[in-house]
Amino acid sequence: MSRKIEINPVTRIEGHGKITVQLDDKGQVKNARFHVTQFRGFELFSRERDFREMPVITPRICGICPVSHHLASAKACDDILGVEIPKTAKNLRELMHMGQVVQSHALSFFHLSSPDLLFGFDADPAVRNVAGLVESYPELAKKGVVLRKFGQEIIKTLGGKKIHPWHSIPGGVNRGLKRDERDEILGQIPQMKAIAKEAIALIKGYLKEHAAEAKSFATVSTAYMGLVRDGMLELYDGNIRIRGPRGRVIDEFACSDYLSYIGEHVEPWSYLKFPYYKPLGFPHGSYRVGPLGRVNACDDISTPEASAELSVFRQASEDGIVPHTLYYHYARLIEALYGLERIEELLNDPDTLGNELRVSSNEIRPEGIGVIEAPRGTLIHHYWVDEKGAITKVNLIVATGHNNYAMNKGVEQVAKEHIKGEDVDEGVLNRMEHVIRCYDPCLSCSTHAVGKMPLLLEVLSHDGECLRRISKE
Amino acid sequence: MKVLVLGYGNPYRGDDGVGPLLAERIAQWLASLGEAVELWVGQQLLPELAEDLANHDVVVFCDASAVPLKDGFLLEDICVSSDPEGLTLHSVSPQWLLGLAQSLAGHAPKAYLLSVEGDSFDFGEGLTARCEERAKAALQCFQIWWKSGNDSAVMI
Repeated sequence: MSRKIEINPVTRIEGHGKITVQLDDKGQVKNARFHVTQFRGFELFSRERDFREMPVITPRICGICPVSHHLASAKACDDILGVEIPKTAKNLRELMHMGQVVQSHALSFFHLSSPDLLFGFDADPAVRNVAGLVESYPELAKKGVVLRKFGQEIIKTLGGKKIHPWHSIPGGVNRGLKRDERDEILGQIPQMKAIAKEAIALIKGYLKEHAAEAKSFATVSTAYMGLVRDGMLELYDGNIRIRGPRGRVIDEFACSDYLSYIGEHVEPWSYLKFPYYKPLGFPHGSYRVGPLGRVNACDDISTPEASAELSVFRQASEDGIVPHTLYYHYARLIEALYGLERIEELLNDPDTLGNELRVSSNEIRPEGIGVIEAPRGTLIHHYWVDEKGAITKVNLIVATGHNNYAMNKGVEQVAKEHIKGEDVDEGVLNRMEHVIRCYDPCLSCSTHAVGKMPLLLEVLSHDGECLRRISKE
Repeated sequence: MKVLVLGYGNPYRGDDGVGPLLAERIAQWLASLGEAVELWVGQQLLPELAEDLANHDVVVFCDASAVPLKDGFLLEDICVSSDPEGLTLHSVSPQWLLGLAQSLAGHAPKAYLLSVEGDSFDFGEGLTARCEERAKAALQCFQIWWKSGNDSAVMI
């Protein structure tokens, strides 16, 4: 008799995600799938609007990474106008982007993942949360809040508000940075770097202490994708690079050519598509994005402290390419350190205080592409417009989609290792959750009021009988 | 007494925008009474708001509800909770946020949640007529309760 185990994590998100584990007749895991219902309604919502509205509209796609959509959208609009924005504007956009990366990575590590790591996957859920973290590690919890707030304040300084800022406009930005604002941010850099380094030491300690699990946990073999500039890690602007699982650079191409290289595979059991590198086909061309994807894709990091840490990171494997999913946390914190170093570099660049904020253009090209490395991975905005600038078609590829294959394979790997028949304890559920948390996906949170349900794991027989249920209500 | 009014939801998703809209109306009304009130509106609640909560005496959350409510809206007391709401914790509940304020700052303010039932969460700006009516009724209820001076919303 085949049986089915369902983990149904339905939260305040559009649609829902669900993990289904299929057992065979002997109670062994046959396969596991992570389903996501991703609503692509923003693509329809945007039609017939003037393209210049898009940097304001698209941040509403997501309440957690609006800056990434804001900037990718602005870059696509620049492309439609056919302009190269002034250096000051570029610096300010990147500065805001680094604020977003720092605050987002701080949220992911300190608030989402560190309770699992510090208390262990098998710990009581009543303790294994942020409240438990605050109680047992109060200083660490406070530092997480401080680091996140630092990034948010940069966004607020430039954009006027922390959520859905309005700063980038087609052709540049609408506000410069004042000298006293720059000095205020610069003065906090040493404290923020110290927090990031403390977190790095913490994750390194964890990975060393749990070396066996760290290397086996949800580890999958994929290629890696990320932006690079002259081979260096790049989060704002560069070429898209694909590096193979054994370390060979397979391809590097201009963002404007993405449609020639990235295809989207469709499976009947998931609304979320599976992007892949076209020349290798699906699934061989599957790749990972986000922190692990980026630090594996690049040759090095341009800032000294993050570069030194990357060298240590790469010692985790013989060839320097780290496939271990738990190392996403380590990579994420290296990027947070890079973000802080880049903030420092940008603030010390005299151009950042310049007055040339935008260029104008009467040209309207038929399409525009904007690509940026959002905290969770490569974000692509592609707009087509008519001669008056009204949107006729939109294509958005978000990080969660790129990682779809790896999340599925990771969940399946954990299921096969830990689920034997109906005997499923909460630790397994926690591990499966943590696979998803490593990738820190954004499950299309464009509305929050729909779909409030608890995390649920069900063991079902082939005819639908519930054999086992674990609820996190 | 320092009051913080928080409205959250996406104004591009129909009735999901009722939270920010109602929060603005409540904050304006409280200001007209001379209360020391601050307003925050956003798409969703985020962890760093815990610090703002801890710096206030009373907090009023305004939100849309996809679940039918008896009178089309509900004003309720809310308490501290440490239970996360979702898989990735990308959105948090008012109760969880209060818990974080309590944990981090040692103080959680008195808190209330005013929910308004929505009919449509599809793409589009503006509320449905029924949701707009419920929002007006919710504001009226809040005003009566506030003037009553009752500590608990259960008393209304």
